[in-house]
Amino acid sequence: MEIIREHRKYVIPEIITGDNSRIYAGRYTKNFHSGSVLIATDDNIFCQKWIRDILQSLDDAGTEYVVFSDIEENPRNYNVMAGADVYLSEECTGILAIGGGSVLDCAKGIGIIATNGGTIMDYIGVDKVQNPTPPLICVPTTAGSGADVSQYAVICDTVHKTKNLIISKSLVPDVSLLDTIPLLTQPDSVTIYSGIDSFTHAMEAYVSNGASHLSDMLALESMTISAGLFPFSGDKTDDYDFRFQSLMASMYSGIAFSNAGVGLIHAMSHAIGAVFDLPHGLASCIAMQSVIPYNYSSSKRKYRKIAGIMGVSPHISDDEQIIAAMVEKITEMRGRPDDRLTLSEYGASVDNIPYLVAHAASDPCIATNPRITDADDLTHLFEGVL
Amino acid sequence: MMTDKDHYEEDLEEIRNRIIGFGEASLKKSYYPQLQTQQEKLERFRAALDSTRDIVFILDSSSGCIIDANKRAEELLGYTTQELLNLTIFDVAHHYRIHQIMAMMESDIRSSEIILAPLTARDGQEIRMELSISSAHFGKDRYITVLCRDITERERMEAAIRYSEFQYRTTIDTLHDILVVIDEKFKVVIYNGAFETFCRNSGIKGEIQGMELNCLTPLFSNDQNSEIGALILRHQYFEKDIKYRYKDKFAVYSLRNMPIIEDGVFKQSVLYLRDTTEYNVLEDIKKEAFIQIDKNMEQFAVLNDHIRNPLQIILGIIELECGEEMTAKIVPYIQEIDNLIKSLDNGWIESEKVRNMIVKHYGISLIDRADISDVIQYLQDKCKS
Repeated sequence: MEIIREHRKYVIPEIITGDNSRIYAGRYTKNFHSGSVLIATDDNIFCQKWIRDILQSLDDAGTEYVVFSDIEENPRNYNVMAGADVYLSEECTGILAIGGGSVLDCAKGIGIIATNGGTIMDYIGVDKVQNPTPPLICVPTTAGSGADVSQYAVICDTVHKTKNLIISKSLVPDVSLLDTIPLLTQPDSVTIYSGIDSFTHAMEAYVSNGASHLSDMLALESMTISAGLFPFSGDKTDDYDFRFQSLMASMYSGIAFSNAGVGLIHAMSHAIGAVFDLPHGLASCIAMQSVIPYNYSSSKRKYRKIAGIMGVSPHISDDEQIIAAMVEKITEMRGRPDDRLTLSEYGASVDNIPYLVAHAASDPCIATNPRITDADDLTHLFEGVL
Repeated sequence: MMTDKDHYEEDLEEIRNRIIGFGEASLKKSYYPQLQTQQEKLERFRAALDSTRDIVFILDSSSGCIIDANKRAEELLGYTTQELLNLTIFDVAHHYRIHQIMAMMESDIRSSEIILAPLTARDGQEIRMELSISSAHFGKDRYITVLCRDITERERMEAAIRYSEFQYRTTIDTLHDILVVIDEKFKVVIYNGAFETFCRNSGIKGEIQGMELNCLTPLFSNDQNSEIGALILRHQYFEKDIKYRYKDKFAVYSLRNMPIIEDGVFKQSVLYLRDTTEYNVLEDIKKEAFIQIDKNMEQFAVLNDHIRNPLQIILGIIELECGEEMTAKIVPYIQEIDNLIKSLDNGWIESEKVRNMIVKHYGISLIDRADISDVIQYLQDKCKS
């Protein structure tokens, strides 16, 4: 029988949403028989008041814990190895990750080493993780990375200046506790770039060559929510509903991109982030200026739909105008006109382009880009945002 | 033919399939396969544990209750597993030390101890066992493991070995000859009573077992003037007469060196020394006696000649000077004397055989046998004429 409707698979974690859902952490460690968990977090988060409720839930469940907070933004391979050392030496039996995308990615890396051994660089690529990782419970403190529901982890190698992807269904967390409260304490810049990140995930999942009915539905819903939330204004900092909506947008886009894949924006932003150590959301904003026009023809219908969600007038029929308006609308989501969206602003020159091209060409994300890309195309794309 | 672009696109397709979940290993995290693997490992270990010849008990560290036992425990003791799980180690093993050891392990989890104690089977039969008791911990829980080995056969074998050793000891100690075994470092490994007596008489004090034999070798010498220790170190079989001197004591020993070589490597040497001093002294006395006899026989032969010569003259005178009647009366006596001398000559001939024997076995001959034969032949011819 001819297959018209391609096979699609969806892997998602158990998810609890709502205010104070973090208090389920203890119950889940107990259910997983994790008598001693490694709490992967960072120092800024661990000093927040709301952490106490999590620790209390662990105490109530009789779960012991060890705190590992030596995790940098854009987590390094050595962060992972140090965390794995703590996990193994303390004989932990589960991981509770509380933090943004960096913390969650690092926690996934720690889990890989804990049950598979070796070094984290051994698992760079797709489906390299053989043994199931320890139970992983995530409490995201930002709304955008999607790491709390996805099969992706990004680990930086500072020596070789690479930002590497580990993709494995084993990395999908067991439980994601999507709590509004931890988001209230994040800085505005984090809120903004996390939001951009979430939107980019949704957009790339939507136009991905691995997209599906479910991922499309989630991606569209995510973009719709994000379009309503951004640009961000400071008076929403303590707005519970804003935080909750942003969390839902992040979850939808996370599930969408985890199962459908992302594309060139991510392949390029990983390369940019590795070389210039920029926030992922900012690097994505830079990359999308080249990528959206490049990909547009491959998925015109879907890009037009995105443009509609972003509020681009349906009366514009010229594709170039639609692209320009769409890019402008997305970049305006930042609400930060001061952040320049060219690589040269961050010290890049033409000399950097071959390295950026090589890095992006080896990124698995280009496999799910709607348009097959070669090195020449990548060179032009990077030159376009230089 | 596929181009590079085709390969590139094929690679991308493969990566895409994996990302969207259709790679061979694109599976959601599942503990069940690993659980099965662990289960198989456990079952394999359990099967190995059940098939051992030893009994294995796992005990609760505080109460001594049996919380697990292998198949061998059922087979040897006659209890069912369920019955065993209702017992404590004290119900089946009887030794006051078990309590002490378990109490000690409360404070020192690394300790372990081996004791001998009988285990009582369900039918009351007692089985001699060696119990290896050790402490183990898994997570926060502590356990005591007891490995029980049936030593009935081993003890029987040990008794047989002890008896055999006693017999061998008795045997070598009854020897008057010295028996000593040395290792490759020239140290005494085994020795008998005669060797101990010899050492004490040679001024050796202290422990003989493990003593280096070098301290005795200067007391020995041989005709080749070679050092005895060096001879032994050649790791070759030999037999030699060696002389022993210590202060005013002198003795001669026959030394037999029997090296034991295993896989071309020298391991030990068995030295057997027999005191041949008395034998050697007797042999010297014999030698002197035989020399004297030889001389006597020589003189005797000469004396025969001396007797026969005057007798010839007497016979000549009688034939010339005496009448027939007188001659007839005297000649039989002369004939008798001649016969006596012939008998003595024949005895001389016979004694030649003795002489040869002496020469052969004792190396004593002061007379050139060829010359003697000539003399005898001459004498015989003379008599006939």
